[in-house]
Amino acid sequence: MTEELHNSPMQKVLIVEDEVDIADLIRFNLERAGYDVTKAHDGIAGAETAIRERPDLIVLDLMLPGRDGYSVFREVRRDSRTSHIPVIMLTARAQTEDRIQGLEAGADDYLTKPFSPKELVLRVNAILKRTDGPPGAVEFEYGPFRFNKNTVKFYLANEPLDLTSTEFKLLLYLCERPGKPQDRNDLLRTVWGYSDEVHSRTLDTHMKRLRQKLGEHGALIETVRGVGYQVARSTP
Amino acid sequence: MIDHLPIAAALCALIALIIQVFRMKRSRKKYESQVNAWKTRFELDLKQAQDERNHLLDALGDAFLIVDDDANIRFANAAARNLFRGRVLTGRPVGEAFLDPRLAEALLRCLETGEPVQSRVVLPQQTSPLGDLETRGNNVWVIDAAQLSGTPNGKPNTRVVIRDVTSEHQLDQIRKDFVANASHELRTPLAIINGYLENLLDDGMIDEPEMARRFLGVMKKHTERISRIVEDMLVISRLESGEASAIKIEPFRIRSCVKDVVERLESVVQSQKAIVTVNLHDQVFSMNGDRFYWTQVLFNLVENALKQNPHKDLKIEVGTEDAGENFRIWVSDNGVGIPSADLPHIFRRFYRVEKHHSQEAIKGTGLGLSIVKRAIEAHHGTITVTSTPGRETKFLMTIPKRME
Repeated sequence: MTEELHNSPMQKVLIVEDEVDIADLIRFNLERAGYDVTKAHDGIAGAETAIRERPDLIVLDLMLPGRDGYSVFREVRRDSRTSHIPVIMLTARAQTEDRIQGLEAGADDYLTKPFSPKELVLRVNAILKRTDGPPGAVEFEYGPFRFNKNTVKFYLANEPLDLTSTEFKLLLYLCERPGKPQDRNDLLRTVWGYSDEVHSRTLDTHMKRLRQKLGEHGALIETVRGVGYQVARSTP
Repeated sequence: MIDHLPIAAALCALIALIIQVFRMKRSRKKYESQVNAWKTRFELDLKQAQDERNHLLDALGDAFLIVDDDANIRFANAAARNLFRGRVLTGRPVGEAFLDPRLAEALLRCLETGEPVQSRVVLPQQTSPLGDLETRGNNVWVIDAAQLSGTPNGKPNTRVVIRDVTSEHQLDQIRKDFVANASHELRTPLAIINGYLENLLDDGMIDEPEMARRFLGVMKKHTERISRIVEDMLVISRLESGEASAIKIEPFRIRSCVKDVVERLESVVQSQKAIVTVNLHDQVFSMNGDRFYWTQVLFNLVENALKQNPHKDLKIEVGTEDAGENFRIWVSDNGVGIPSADLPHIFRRFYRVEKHHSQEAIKGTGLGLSIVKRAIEAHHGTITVTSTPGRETKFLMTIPKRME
């Protein structure tokens, strides 16, 4: 296992944060956790660096000079080269509504200042952790869906389709358990590593977006009232 | 003879009757004219009473209406007529007069249930109760409706008061924004201190003296930042309190304020290789005002110029001149300037102009220019700013010589 870790290239994290001391703090902690870290200090540089360097994850402050975080986020999500990159939003706006707004916009996670650096590292780990599966089973197929767990690439009827890593994990988790209703809290814990009120309120938004992206196949995801979601058992 | 008696008696009775009728007629006429006089007087009194009532109700600042059981407006005072911009209200149904359904809704609820209703209506930008365009900003109204008992026909009337609470609402919004912005400003340095502390304590960094020293230095810097923010918040709240005691008016020398400021900022000036010129008109030797705030005003303006222009070749001028009734004081620089789109907002609390990441070691509190403006206003002066990027950005203050 350690062998493999050493052989695989270091995962790259981009920090977009205008406060030098916060950027340094995050870098220090992520580097100690084994990540390769790049910094950008304003929104314009942040979007450019994301597209140029294609990091594995972006930590994005929302209050940035030049171009605010949401605008950077939208550009990153629009560009097909970066649309799959998970984003953790970071902000001093702590109102529940602000956090919901961030997650509903499609952020993979959201942290408010003041935050614990350890907590941030845990969340980065949770998002970047490769989906566990039986060894060798890199590809997983289900009906018209095909998942590549290594590259976190998703194919719908053999055509690549852009899913965020959160959407990828949600769908894979459901597809691996077809016909079994999955409890909301289990889903939240699987995807984000924990569950709280804010994330629970945005689960439905994520599902809605996922269904939209899947088009006619979106109907495969079924809402199970009072429990959560399930993927219909595939018809033979 | 006997035959004549009854005839005479009957005649007498007839005459008496005629006299009686005539008398009665006369007294009725008299009575009627009396009644008419009373009636006229009563009507006059009533009219006067109504006029007085209307006059009183017109004097009310709030819109006041009386609405009958069938939701028709029976009375509207001057403020109500004003609110609905002179439209004819009396005799019209509520639904027709109140074009905005939210106002009518509260009132109709009261008419339906007979229970008093108080509701707050926030009308979005550019609308009025009429439903058409008006000034920008939110209009907030409180509508208060309650049934009146004891009407002559037994059918209850409803009185309606509509109060414009827009300015209270705006003040409340400003206060909320201030708290939200202030806590936002405080969260960032707190996040830094908290984060570095966690690394120091939990991850054993404290045993690596080099690292620990660096972390502690960062923490100290941001502790100072928090105290500056808190200090500035206190200053601005004192200036905004409007209390006369907020500033002291006494003679002081502007030269000594300038000297103070230059000394305090000397290290920054030297490290940035900036040039500060002081150009004081001899007449502006002694001014009336609060030395503490004047030092702060000049400090904030000079520091601001330095912060916005960390590059070389920055020239800053602090100058004064005598302008008849007023003194003029300015701080100008030849730096990057302020984009014209930002100019109207720069005195707003927590407004930041910087569009690119500045390499300055520590951010300002976001209150510096607000303090400047409030302090100048507390001295009955005005401040204007003009900016030609790269050439001249000038904050010009005009202060009356005489302070009452």
